[in-house]
Amino acid sequence: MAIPTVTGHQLVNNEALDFIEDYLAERGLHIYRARHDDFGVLLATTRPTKTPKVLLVGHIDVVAAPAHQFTVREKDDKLYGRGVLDMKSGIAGYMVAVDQLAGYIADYDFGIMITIDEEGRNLGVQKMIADGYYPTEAAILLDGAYDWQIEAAAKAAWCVTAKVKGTNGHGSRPWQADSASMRMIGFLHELQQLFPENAPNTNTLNISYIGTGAKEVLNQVPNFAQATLDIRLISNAACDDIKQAAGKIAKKYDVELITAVEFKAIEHDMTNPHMTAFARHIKKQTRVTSKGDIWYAVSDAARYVERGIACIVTYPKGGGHHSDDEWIDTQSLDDIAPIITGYLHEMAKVPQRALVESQIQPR
Amino acid sequence: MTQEQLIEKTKELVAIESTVHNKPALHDAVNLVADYVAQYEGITIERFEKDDTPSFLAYAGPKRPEMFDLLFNAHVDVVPGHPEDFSPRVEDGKLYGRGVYDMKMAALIMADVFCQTAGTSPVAIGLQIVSDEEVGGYNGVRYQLDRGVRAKFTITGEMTDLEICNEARGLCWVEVAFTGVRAHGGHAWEGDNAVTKAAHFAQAVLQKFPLPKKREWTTTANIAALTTSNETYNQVPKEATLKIDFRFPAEEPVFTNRETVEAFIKSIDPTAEIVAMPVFEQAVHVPKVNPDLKKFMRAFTNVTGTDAILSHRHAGSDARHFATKGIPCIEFGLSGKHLHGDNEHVNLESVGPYRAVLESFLHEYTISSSKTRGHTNGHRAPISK
Repeated sequence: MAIPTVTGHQLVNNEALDFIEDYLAERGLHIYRARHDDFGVLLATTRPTKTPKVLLVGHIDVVAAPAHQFTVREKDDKLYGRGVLDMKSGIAGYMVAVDQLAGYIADYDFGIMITIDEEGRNLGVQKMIADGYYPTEAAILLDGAYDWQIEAAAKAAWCVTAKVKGTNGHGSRPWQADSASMRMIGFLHELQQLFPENAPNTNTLNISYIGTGAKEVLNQVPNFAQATLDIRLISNAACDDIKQAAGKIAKKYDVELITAVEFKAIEHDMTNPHMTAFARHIKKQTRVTSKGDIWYAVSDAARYVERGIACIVTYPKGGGHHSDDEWIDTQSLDDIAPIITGYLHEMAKVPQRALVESQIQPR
Repeated sequence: MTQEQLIEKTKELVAIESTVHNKPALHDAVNLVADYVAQYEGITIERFEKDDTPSFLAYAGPKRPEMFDLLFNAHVDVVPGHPEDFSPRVEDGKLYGRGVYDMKMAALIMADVFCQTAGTSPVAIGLQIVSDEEVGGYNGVRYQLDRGVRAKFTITGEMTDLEICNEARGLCWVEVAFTGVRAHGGHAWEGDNAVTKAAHFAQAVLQKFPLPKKREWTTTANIAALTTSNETYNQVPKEATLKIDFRFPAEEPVFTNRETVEAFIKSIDPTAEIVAMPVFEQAVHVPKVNPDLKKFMRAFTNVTGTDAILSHRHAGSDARHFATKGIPCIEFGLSGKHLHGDNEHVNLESVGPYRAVLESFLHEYTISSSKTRGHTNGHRAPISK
């Protein structure tokens, strides 16, 4: 938590991966470090393979926050801080689970994969899958659906950069210029009409960034404006409709739309044995019955589900991710490792016969 | 100075990237004009500086007059441009470059006319060169006025395309902050988006003051900047800042005073926080009956053979600082195009008439003054030190 792994700060994030690598290597895991551009990925597996049976997936990067949020503070049985829920608690849980299995690690077939760009460009998992690193049966991702509910479905997401080019002019004669700020404001105003509600089960628009105009000069009509639009959609059909409508509005204002990140809406097979097994271990440890939850954010789960790989997505008890009051329940934090070890013991343990065979013909 | 010499000197001045934060360049630009004036004997250059922003006041004789009869005013700071904008060039009878139109060339013409006249004229003429007009003029003209500089009549060389501007819109710069609540972008309803608030506000302002399609004597709002520090795509931003550049005619009730502006902002969004109103300047108006304005109009007619046209200008300028001190100030500048934009230029054919009008006005002013004071005017030959 004390490492300020703000997304996009690759140096710090890669140092955090070093920290995790040392911990896992000491406990007998095989280490593989990938690097895509400057973005590192850590893969640690119980066996020397690209395709473990189960993969515990996480991201160490967090969204930006004031410095004080990188010091954990405890109050009323809750821990507060940036990333405490999203999702350093999950990674810590994976690490403790490995520690608890140390000495028996060769009896299991699982891996841990940590990326550093989930909150930003979100290519880490995609690139690893493309390079052949993925689980054969299930991915576990403690990155969604609050309070140990398992994600049953997730919205689609379309993150797009909107750019407007205009022409400069003097602020006193705006009719002689082509104000990029005015066109951007007109575009955003009209776009907003496509999102009449701002509620969980609707399409939503978050204008997460805008930049137009010079820092100090006020008497110049801006010739450039840029905005980032974080759009969440209830279905893939809705995504197509919104894209078409947004495109028309963009054309009207001569705005260029560039897709930055895109996730399809997903539905999980809740009858998958890994789903039911994980839910059992949640209940055993916490007494919480997971009924299957619709999750409104998106995660790397979509990348696995798209390939037909089961992905169990949940969060411990907590809230406020990306807000100034991100928190996790301390008891829930303690519950992570037992749930993981219980699940791995049931679903990722290698049969003794296979172990013997693997010693004869190592993969 | 011949026209060729003037063009070369202007190129030299335009090549200095004298934008607001480039303090060394501001000094260089002011010094270039001061050095030119200093070639003439009997001229005093009184330097001013506030917050590393230089300016000077030039006059004949060792002592600054308590009240100048006439004051020429010009600025040599410019708005930012592309690197090539600072490599001036002449093409098809036009001189291109950042600040050539606004208003480095006029500054040099005024300086030259001043140098040719000031030493021998019975009229107390001053030349004022400043370097912060583009950012409000508080460290230049306002500072000099606060230090007691006064004049009966002022001409500033802002670009007017050879029209005589006796009215200018008022200027109000407002910085408004919006505060929201951070949240995950996928849970937008748990947050409160500050950028959305700011964009709604801007839209409301533009509905109240729609952008005219052509030049119109009305209130305009330039959305000069809209920013947030948040760069995380999936986070609801907590803060946003909006900067608006308002220009308004004297009759606009929203801009009666600072309080009415604040009330207008709160009427759109009561949660909007006015962080700063760095500039609030009333509109400028010099009545037609002003005797010096009449003389200037006569001089214009004498030179051009056409009736002088009075116009109003849409930009605020340092003229408003004179107006607040009760000093009549007209704007009279060269012809050109693309003020603050790409391909800013001056039409060189306007240089001759421009200079001639200034000289004719000084001549007329001197004659009428001599009649009153019993002095005669003698044209002063340039004397290099």
